[in-house]
Amino acid sequence: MEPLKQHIKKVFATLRGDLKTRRECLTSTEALWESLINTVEQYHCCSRAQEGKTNVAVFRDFPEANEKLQTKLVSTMSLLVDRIQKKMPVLEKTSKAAHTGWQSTWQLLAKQGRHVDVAESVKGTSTEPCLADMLLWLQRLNLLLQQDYAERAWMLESMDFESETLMVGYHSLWLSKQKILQQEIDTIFAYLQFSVG
Amino acid sequence: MNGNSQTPQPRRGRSGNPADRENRRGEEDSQTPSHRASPANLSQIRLQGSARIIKDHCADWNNFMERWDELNDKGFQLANKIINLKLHQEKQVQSTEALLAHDSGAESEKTKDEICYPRKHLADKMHNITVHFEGVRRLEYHTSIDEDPEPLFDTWTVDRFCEISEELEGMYSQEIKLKESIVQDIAHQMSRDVLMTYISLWHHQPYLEERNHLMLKSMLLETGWVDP
Repeated sequence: MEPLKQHIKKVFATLRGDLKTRRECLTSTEALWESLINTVEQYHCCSRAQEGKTNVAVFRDFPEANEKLQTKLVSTMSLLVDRIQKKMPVLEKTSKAAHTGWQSTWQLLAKQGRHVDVAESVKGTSTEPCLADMLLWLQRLNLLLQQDYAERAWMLESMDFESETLMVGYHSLWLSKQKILQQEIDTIFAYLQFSVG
Repeated sequence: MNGNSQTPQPRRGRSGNPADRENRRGEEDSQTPSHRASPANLSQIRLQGSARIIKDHCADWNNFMERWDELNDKGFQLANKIINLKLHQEKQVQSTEALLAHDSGAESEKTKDEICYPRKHLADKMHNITVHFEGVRRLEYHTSIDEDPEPLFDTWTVDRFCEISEELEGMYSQEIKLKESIVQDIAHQMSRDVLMTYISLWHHQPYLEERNHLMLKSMLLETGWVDP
């Protein structure tokens, strides 16, 4: 059982570094999202202004200005989405690291499972969690990170600048997901702080 | 940006015989590093005449465009302030509307005075560059033996400089007209969508195409102000 425990601790120690990088990466996307949503708002204000106010002097005297502006805004939005997209490899790397860690742990468990005392595997202390808990946390972390990456990638793929509601919703979701996931991560590593180091 | 070296020979009073032209080119080559100022050797050549005018005005274009960007930022801050005031005004009770309208009107006048007029002055200077380029073009055609004058620098003829300058001037003059119109109307608008559109129009400058900086850089490269 000891080699298995040591392996899991090593996996968590590596993951901790990856998760820190992931968190910093996501923090850096917040400013990009703010700019994106501001630009989306401008784009939709322009559309509504153009539709509703045909007697506005600027629109009358410069009929092509609004269209030129919207072209520029779309270009800006695309650029911002590209920059957010460029952050995704970091998230992908972390989710893959969690998956690899979980896979290797599972393979080791399959090899050494017969040597693991089930009764001992559920015994832990305040500073040394039991094997069963550590396996569960690792499995959960792997699942959460896979799901999180897949959902974020899907959000970026399915963006639609024409829908202000959708874009605002995605922005809110992008931020809230990280908050929820980070709470889980912090809880797991709080339990592991003495054993993983 | 310095250009110091020998003076190219003036190209006037020559015969139309192509052979003579070749001989002449050989003589010029022996006297100056190059009969044409190319970016590679502009640092060694002191330009005169048309080439000097063109080169100096390209530097002017660079300076004016930088100044324009500074003014745009300042104007954006003021316009943003006016719009925030007006958007705030929508949430206030009606009795304060006149007071706030006066305030935003005063700010609007301040914007026009502080930002639009210097910018208009810049637009006039940009126009003058195009006029000077046109003058140089006429001079080159008048004094050139060939139907088409030779490039003054590496590959560009005066025609090309004129085209670029006209295009840039067109963009900036249209943009200043738009901004003047926004400043005149901003105090009279109450719709949030219209006000947001105005601030967006001001900031993003729809008539300034993204390639204007590329056009400027091309001029600076051609005249040797920047290295390739």
